[in-house]
Amino acid sequence: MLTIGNRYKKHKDNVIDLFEDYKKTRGEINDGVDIIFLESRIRSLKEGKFILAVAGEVKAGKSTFINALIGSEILPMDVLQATSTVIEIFKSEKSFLKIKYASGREEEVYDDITTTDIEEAREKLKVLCSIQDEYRSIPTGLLNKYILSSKERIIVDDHLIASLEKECDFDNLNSNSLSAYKNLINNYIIEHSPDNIPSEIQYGYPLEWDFDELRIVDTPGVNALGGVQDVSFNYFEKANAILFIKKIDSIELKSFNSFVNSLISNRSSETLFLVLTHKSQHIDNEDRLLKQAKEIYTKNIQPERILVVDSLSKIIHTELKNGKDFSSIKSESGAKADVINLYKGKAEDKGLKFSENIFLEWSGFDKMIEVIDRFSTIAPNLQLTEILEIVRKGYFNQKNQYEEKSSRLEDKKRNPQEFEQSIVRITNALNEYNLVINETNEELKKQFSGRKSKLNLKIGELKIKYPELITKSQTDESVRKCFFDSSYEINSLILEYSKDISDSLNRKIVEKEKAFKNEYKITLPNVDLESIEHQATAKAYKNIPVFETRTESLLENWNIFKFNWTKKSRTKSIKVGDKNVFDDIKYLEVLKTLFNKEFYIITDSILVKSNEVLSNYLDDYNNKMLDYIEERKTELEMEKNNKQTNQEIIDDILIIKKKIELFEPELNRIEEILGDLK
Amino acid sequence: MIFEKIKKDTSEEFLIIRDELNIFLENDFDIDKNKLFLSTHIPNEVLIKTDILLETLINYLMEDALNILKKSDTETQNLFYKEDLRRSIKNWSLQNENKLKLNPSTAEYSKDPRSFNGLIAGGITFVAGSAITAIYFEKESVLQTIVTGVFTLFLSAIAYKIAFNKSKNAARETIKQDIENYLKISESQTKEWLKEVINSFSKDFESFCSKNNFDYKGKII
Repeated sequence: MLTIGNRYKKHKDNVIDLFEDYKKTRGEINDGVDIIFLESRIRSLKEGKFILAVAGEVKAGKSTFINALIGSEILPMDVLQATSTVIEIFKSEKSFLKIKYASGREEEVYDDITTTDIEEAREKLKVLCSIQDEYRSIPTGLLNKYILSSKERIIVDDHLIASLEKECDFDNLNSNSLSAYKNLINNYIIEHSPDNIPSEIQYGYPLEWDFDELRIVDTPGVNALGGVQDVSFNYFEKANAILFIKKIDSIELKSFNSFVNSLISNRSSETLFLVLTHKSQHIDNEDRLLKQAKEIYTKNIQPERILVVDSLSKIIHTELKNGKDFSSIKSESGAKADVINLYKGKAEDKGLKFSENIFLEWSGFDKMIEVIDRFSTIAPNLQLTEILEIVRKGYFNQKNQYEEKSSRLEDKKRNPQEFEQSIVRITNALNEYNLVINETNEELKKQFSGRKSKLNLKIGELKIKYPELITKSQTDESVRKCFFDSSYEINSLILEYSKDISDSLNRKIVEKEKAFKNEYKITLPNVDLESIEHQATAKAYKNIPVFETRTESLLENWNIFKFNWTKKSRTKSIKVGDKNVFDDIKYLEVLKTLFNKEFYIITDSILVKSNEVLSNYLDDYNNKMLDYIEERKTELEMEKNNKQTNQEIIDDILIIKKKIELFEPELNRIEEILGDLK
Repeated sequence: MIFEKIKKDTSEEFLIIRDELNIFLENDFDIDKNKLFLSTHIPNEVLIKTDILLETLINYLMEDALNILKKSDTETQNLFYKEDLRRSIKNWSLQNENKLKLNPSTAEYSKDPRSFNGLIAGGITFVAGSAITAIYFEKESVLQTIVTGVFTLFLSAIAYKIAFNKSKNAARETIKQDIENYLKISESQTKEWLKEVINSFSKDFESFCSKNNFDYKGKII
């Protein structure tokens, strides 16, 4: 059973449970926690997905790895895989497939209950994932890219063949084979259109794991002709962990480095793991190869994030556990038979009992899962910690308010006149506090706006850095990466900005509260700064556009004032029927301009919005504080006017004590989980 | 003097815009692409800078006003905060009759020297070719005249192309100069506009003080 995220799920369930209890006990009391905001955080926690994206080169064994990881052979392994589709696998009661085609058309396939021996969804998946036999010799991924980016039907001519030749190697073809090759490509183009090329597949399957929110995402090979598509890129951006699969014996820098440096953003690379597979084929050299990999990849990944596994061993272990015996497994697959024979010999050499456990242990999966689980749950655990800390703060605030009230009631019982005087004194002090809040508000507005504010200076730095990086990029992937990196940096800047405001406000409040308390000896109202910070930050975000590859038609490219007289250019300017030419250079230039434009739109809107956010944040804080002051004054007034007998006062004090007692077990539970999370 | 301070800030911010534009005006920049992009990008950047300058100016104005009000009682100070001059001056600056209107609203460019020089070179070649054709082939066959004419057209086109390409650097320099001129005009318009903002704030502040019977010496300028 796959256990990634199980501990996180346990903590998450506990946090949701604790929140529900808190909501019940809280009642009407205002403890400074923004309950609506906290509820929305709990809601997104409940709805959140936990994504493990699997990347790697074509034929690196991604499908076998995924099957081994989830403990079920649901992805076809012995086929040449089609390369342009992302497959999202998740747990579902019944097996079903939801396919989204490039045209936007959607199709759903469910298992037919009358044909129990056929799994329709799985069969359909196999068809969608595999390249048909007759098209094995042509670059289908690249052709798909051309089909999807072209507005009209592609004409198979020398120009297209030259483009294909430029992007991929194929053997020199003589004139006969060239004509057959053209026919094959033509047939492929006739049969394929955006309406039948899948871009995303969701596969629900009754899998054996507890963590319902877990999604395993199989992405196209990174060296696949046709490139990493926007769909994959978006999954990498959202992923809690990206597992890059590579054969242990093909340690070289190029593909992994280009994946890290050009194909994923800096944010995504923080969630990356390098998984070296086919361990059983190098069982005697495993340590040496791992050491070598750690030395080679040291610039791009931490050594503890490089892991070695053997997918076949894990699959054999699952099959043995499900009741299969060695001979039937051996008879099914030569590769599995080799692993079994190898492990049998090794076990005898080491004097170990040859059993199913050896396959699990030597597969390396348990260790890998433990490491991925540890690293990938850091960020979600931090969210849980934040929620728990808010709830804890709420409980403490309630406790303080009840304790203060109880003490005032004691005063009331002992000396009613003194009680009334103290209420008047507190009310006057609260009035004075208004000015302190107004001054704090103004100080912060001055600090966080204008040309010398930290945000403005940092955005100024980004405005020099990123347009230069984008403009000087040599490939479209690199342009896209620079843009995503800039967005990530801007987002971090905004988070930092609102956190800075919140921290400064906190600092100033603590400072001024301290001075105020010393002078007036009262407990002052407070508000949930974190909730205001989150809301203010949310307002500063902008959706990041993702550009699609688009081919410019000849007509659009044509410009009389360019006067290109070379043969190539003149040929391009003559329209020969309805044909599209994908102009890489032009595309890159257009992409750079578009991304530069978007970059400026985002940075400029952030600057404008940051002022709005600052003003909303501080005004919101101001209004809430002034409301609380008024609320507190009204409460005190009511307390003062409430004529009670001594017995009634004693009863009230008892009720308050009982309420305070209810908080203790909850607070203990929070401390326990917080300790565990840390 | 607040105006002197904000004038200095404005000059510095416009220097920053010039620095940011450098990447698009490097030696061999793509003339057509960047020209089009910059014509709207630069005014946008100027407007963003004026927003920042407005915020900076309001900070200066509020600081002065609060220093003056320090001598008043707590109630007056709280009333001043409640009046929220920050917001009202921003609203004032957004009103159609008061907001900054850059003129021209997009960066305008002089004539492209490439087309001009190309046309001259092509034109001279064409005129010379036509004259030669007229003088030497007047009494010859029509076919010869046509062939010479086509050849003249071909030579004119080549001359156009050579002159067009040779003028690329001149075109780049013209664009840079046009942009510099645009920035100078915008800078001066921004400074004038900020002066109006100061006057408006000053009036609002005076009105608040007289409404609340608070006398003070001096003026916010």
